[in-house]
Amino acid sequence: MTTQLLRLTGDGSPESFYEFSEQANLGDGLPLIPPTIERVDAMLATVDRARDENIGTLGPRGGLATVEAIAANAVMAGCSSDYFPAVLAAVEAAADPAVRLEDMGVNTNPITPFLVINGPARDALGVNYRAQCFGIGGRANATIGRALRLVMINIAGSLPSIVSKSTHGSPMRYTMCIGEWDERNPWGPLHVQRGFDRDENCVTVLSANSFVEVGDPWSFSAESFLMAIANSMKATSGSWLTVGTAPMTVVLNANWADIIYRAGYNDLSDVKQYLWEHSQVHLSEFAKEWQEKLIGGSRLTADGSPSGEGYLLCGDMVPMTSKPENFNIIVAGGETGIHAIVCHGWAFERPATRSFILPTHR
Amino acid sequence: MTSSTLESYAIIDPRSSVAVVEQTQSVALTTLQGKTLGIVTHGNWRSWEYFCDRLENFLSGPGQDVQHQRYQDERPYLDERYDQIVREVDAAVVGLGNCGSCTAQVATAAAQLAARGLPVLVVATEGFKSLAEMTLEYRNYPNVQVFTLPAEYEVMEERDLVRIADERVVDIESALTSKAI
Repeated sequence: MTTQLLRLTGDGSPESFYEFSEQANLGDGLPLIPPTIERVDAMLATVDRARDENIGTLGPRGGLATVEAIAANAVMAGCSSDYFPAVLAAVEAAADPAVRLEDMGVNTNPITPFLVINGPARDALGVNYRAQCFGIGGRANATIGRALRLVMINIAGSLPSIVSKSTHGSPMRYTMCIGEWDERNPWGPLHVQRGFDRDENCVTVLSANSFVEVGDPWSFSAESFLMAIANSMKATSGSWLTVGTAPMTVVLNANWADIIYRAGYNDLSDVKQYLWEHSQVHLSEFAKEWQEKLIGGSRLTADGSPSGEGYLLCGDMVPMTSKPENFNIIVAGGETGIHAIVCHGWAFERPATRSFILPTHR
Repeated sequence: MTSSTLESYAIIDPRSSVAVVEQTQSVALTTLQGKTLGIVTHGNWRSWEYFCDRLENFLSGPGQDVQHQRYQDERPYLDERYDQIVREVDAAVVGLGNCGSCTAQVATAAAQLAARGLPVLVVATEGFKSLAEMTLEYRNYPNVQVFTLPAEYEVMEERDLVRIADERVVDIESALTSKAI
């Protein structure tokens, strides 16, 4: 495979490329850096990979995610070349069938990949895991997440409004990338929970359909904090509820994580169990037509067909997801410890993690 | 025009190329008369139920000699089920693509049937036509036609659902037989 060049008319300025990219549907609406040969080569120099290596075939278009094309998108997103190993690992993880990137790219709900970066690379790349980690500010967070979105648009073919018809879209679709405060997660950071060594650099692709703020200045006990989080997960509609198996991610602030851990929740599965039990909603809270579906309907399967199995009701209670294991618990955010974030997922997507090596460590 | 606008520069194409797919041609259908049409449901759309009812009504009406068979499983469609459908019918319509994920599923199901040599038609609402076509292309069946219903079909009043279905079902046969699929 040879390098795929586009020869454009213009002076090569950011303005002229921005105009071209808008006309050619190559972007997300924000200004883009032209992926010149020199800039792409600078990205490629940070990894020991062939430029034509196909990382994955991405739907709905069936585009080949070559290392070179990924690098071009990373340039366009504004990434520093140092970030490229992380971007490449993010695309590799996103191409894992468990993530269901194709579904995320075409769904009418606002689901989006949510990247978490763990390990020493977090600091080496300047990935924000403290105050304002979800934005705004921070080049690494802004551009690494954006690079994956541009890959979804340009390689996978999820062209906004043309192919991807999400009813409302989401501001999270511009970028959704944070670091984890590894040192303050008492249960072990996400990549360790997922079987990697603490010293490995990892990107995990989670999913986010919602972004719910939990604000609690009044609690001081573990149970009260956990109850506040569980209550913030509750919903009586939402596309995740129509399927019933969605993953959910909780981003704890470090202070709450400490308090919860020190109160005896030393096993993360106990935290998940608590949240699962206390986030259930009584059937009577749902609208009549939802009640009919929840009682008599059939959960969908991963291919969108009815499963033949009812929803997982616990008596008259409706769990927000089918089992406690569907929760992901991470730690990030500033030290003003009265907030957490809950992100409901969608349905069948599951996390995938890939490790990467920074160029200085090769 | 200034000289700067005549300048050119090169970039790496961020779109890459698409996977090379083997185009597969299904058996062409010349008529539905005397045949059996499968009506395959993926998803759970109220409007699709109306459309299927009116399609069945039309196929059972005067001047028609078309048998029909519905497939709406309570279990996932597996290979064996697709094999069974192909054994039992001569052509199929698959619907309804009316959201991102269900359109991809409907198009994928159509490709499964087309791969078994069955003439097949995808039914989608207007807003999801481009996604259905892209998915069919990715799944190797760009020649499978996408038959469209209005974008707002799902939220129409019952009388409009019936009226539009009655207007559109008469075109199903021509859509299935208009070209090799």
